[in-house]
Parts: sequence; C-alpha cells; structure tokens
Amino acid sequence: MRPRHATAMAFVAVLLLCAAGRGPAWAQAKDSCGFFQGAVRSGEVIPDKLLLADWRGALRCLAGILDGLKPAVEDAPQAEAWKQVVRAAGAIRIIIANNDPAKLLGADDKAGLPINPAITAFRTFATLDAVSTLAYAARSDDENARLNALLVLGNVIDNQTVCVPIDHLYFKDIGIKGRANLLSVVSVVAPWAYKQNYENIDAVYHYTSDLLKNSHDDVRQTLAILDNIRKRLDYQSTLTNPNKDASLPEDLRACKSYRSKWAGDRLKYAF
Amino acid sequence: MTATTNGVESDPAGDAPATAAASDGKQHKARHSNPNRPEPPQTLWDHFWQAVSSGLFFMIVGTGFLAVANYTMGSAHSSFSFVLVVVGVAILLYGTGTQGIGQFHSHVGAATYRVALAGGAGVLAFCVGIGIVWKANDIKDAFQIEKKYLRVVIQPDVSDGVSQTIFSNYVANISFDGESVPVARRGNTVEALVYYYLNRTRSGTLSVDFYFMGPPESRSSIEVDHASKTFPLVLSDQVRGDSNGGLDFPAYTGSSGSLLISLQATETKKLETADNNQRSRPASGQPVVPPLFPTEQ
Repeated sequence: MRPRHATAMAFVAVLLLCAAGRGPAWAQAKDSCGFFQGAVRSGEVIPDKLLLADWRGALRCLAGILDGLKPAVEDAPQAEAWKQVVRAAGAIRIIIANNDPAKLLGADDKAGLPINPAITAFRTFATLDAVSTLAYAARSDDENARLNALLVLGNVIDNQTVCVPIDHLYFKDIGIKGRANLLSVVSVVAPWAYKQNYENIDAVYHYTSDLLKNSHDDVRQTLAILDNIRKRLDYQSTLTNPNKDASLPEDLRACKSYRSKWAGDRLKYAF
Repeated sequence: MTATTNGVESDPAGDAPATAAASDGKQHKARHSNPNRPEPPQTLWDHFWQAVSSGLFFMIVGTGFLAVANYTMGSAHSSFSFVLVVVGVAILLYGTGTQGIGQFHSHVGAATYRVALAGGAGVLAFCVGIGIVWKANDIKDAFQIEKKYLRVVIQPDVSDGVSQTIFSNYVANISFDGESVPVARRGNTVEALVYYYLNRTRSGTLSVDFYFMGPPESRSSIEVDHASKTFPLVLSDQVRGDSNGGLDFPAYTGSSGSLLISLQATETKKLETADNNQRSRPASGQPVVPPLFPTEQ
C-alpha cells in the first residue's frame, strides 16, 4: 500500500469516527428512526432542538412507532407499553405546539388561521393502526397515556380516521373516562363529517345514549359531551351545502379498509 | 503518743509549732502596718496594672475568647474555632491559677496533717485530660460542625410526556426557607446543594422556580412560562444517599421521594382549538360552529 493511500484511509477512518460521535442529530440527518425508537423504548430524553430541526422526519418516525405499538396495547397491555405511548405522544404534542400557526404568525385570534402544518404532516404519516394505538391509550386505565393520547387524537382526527374511535366506542366494557374521551374525539369531526362518517357518528350517538339511559354511574359529563355531539351534528343542517350530503372524497376513504373489532355491521362505509 | 509528719518529730503537746507560726504572722502583719512608714499613693496607672494582672481579668479575657469561638463556630473554619477555644481555655485557666481550693489542718493528737486539695488549673487540666481520652469522638464532632451538603435532585415529571423534552428550555431558581442555594444542571436534572449540620436535623421548605429562558415568542403553547413548586424537606445524616456528586455531596433520599416538576402549560390540556385543524371546515361566513366540550378526562 502506498503511503498516500494509507493516509487517505486514515483520513476516512477519522471522518467515520467523528460521524459516529455526533450522536442522534447525525442519525436523524441520515433519515433513521433508530434514535426515536430507542428514546421511546428507554425513556432517553429527546432533545427539544431535535424536534424543532427536522420535525417532519420526527413525526414520520413517531407515527411509525405508534403503529408498531398497537399489538402491545391491544391485548393485556403492560405499564411499559403505556409509558412508550406517553413518550411518543408527548413528543408529537411538542411538535404540534411548536408549529402552532398562532405562534408562528404571531396572531392572537386563532380564527381563520391555516391548519397546523404538523397536524397535516402527521395525518399523512399516520396509519389506522397508529390512530388505533392512540384510541386504546385514550380509553386506558393509565391517566397519563389517556391524557396525552386524547390531546393528540383530538387534534389529528378527521374524516379519514374517525372510524377508529367510533369502533372503540362499541366496546361493551369501555370505561367511563375512556368513553368520554373518545366521544370528545368524535365530536371534533361532527360539524364537518361527510355522509358516511355523519351516519356512523349519528349511530354511535344513539347507541351510547341508549346505553347510558339506565346507567347508575355518574355519567353527567358523558351526557354533556353527547349533547355537544348532537349540537355539532345538527349544525350541519344550518349550512347550505353541508358535508353530510356529500360522500367521502377519494383521498379520505381510508376507513373503507378498516376492519372493525367491536362495531360489526354498525360501522358502515358504503360508496 | 508520738506522731511523725514528714519525718519530723513533733512536740507531743502539739502546741509549739502553731504558736510559733501565729506569733510570726502577727509580727509580719505588724511590719506592714507600721504607721511610721506611709505607703506611697497609688496612681491610676498602678490601678490599671493591678487590674490587668488580676486573675479575674484573665478569666474575663478567656471567657471572651470562648464566646467568640462559640459565636463564630459554624461560619469559621473548624481549625480556627479550635485555636480560639484552646487560647480561651488557656487564658481562663491562667486566671484561675493553680492554687489550693481548700486546706485542712489537723490538730489531732501529736501530729498535724496539712491536706491541700489541688484546684483551679490543675483540676481542670486533669478533667480535660480525662475528657479528651473519654470523649475523643464527640470532641472531634464538636469541632466539625461546619456545613454538610446534600444534593437535592429535581427532575422533570416524565409522566406528562412533555416536561422531560422541554426541560432544557428552563432555568431554575431554588431557595430553602428563603435562602438561595447553589443550583447546577446535570444532564436532564437540576441539583440544589442544601446544607445542614452534622448530627443535627434541618427541616424547611424547598421552593423551586423554573423560568422559560428563551425569548417569549419562542415559547410554545405547551410550555409554561413559569413553574413553581415547594417541597418540605428534612435534612439529616439519615437521608444521605448515593455519592455520585462526590463523597462530600451525597444525594438527598428523603421520604418525599423524587422531586418532580411539570413544565406543561395546563391550558393545553383541552381540545378547544381542535376545530382549527379540520381540513373540511366550511368557508368563512357560515354560522358559528358550536364550541367543543372542554374535555379533560
């Protein structure tokens, strides 16, 4: 080997060593989700700056992590599974908060602002399984998982994914807090639900209302949320061209392929 | 009966030496009280030197040293306190003098017994000597009452899902019972050094304040501008934990457990703004949408 070649190889080796020492930021730049997977699994701190620098890449990784957590939270979930959901959902909440249009544009009035770009991006990356993981967490016994999942789910839910919380609402052993959370999530879509979603929301409204008629539990808050759903569904009747009269657009028909677990035939997506 | 004292044969009657001594004392007193030889008048300077030469003066000075040692103990270095105490005791003992604190003359039979009890410095030195040997460890502790420190570790509340990540955006101001304490950041924790005295318990309230340290416009809605929390602490040798901060700075492991603080803004725990992110929103000019129920379950 010539001395010049040896020098060049040594130089490359030094560069590789430097690259290895640059840590998560470098890994992120290399389009890897390994750092986020490790951080969500181990509880290692995800630097806030990392969530600012390449938040789209982070969202893609975090959506993938939520997708992969579905089997862990589906059947007899352990506390560790909820911790991972909290870490992932917490990071998503931070990204959403960092990209708040009101903050970016310096606007005090939130009316008329564009959609949060982080929420739009998450909707692009999130699968129905990822949304299902959040739905499981939003109705879990773990308070922190419940709150974090609700705050993400409530913001990212739309006509494309609302079938998931509707399906969970048909689970007969759902808890009071979990039911209230998922009803709140569904209520977000109610004023602008397209035909299929409108009918499914209306159906779950009637199902839950009938279920709670003779309930001996304290479900006053749930009944208030149901009342809110009714008002928001009826709001569409005040519009000249309400979404409920139009079938779901082609790009929002992900729920057509959703296989319900509890709703059965009560969740319909006929086109 | 004949008795012997110090090897000297005494008069059986036992009166002769006492009588001689008494008569000698009278003559000595008479010499000094001779009115024909008037004593020179004492000046103020003489009075001063008499005062500063008296035993009482040295006892007062010694006590003063001890008082200063007691007053500065804790704030001054232990070796300085030790020097003050030693000097104070030495001067105090010099003032008391090593003299008999009691005498006993016996006139029983033919012998005369003169018993003198050692007193003053002699007794005190003897007692101090025994005390040093007997209470060596306690004496060491007595001169080691300088402050001991515990590292009180404050961590972000990881359960809320966001505080751990945004923790680095905050700067901490911590006080214990109103007294500011040194604070250092160590990884994703903040450590406060709170002192207590060895073998003593110090109870108080740790007040923790976290301030967002970036410009206001960079703070997201999820981050609180200022978080404040108080923790009741009981500091003593019994709550000394690991020594990751060095042997002199063990971690606090009190009954209150981990000291956690949440930096999450509470107003973000609601879904009130979710409507803004619906892409199928009707165009402006439509009737107002019924607001979302402010859920927080």
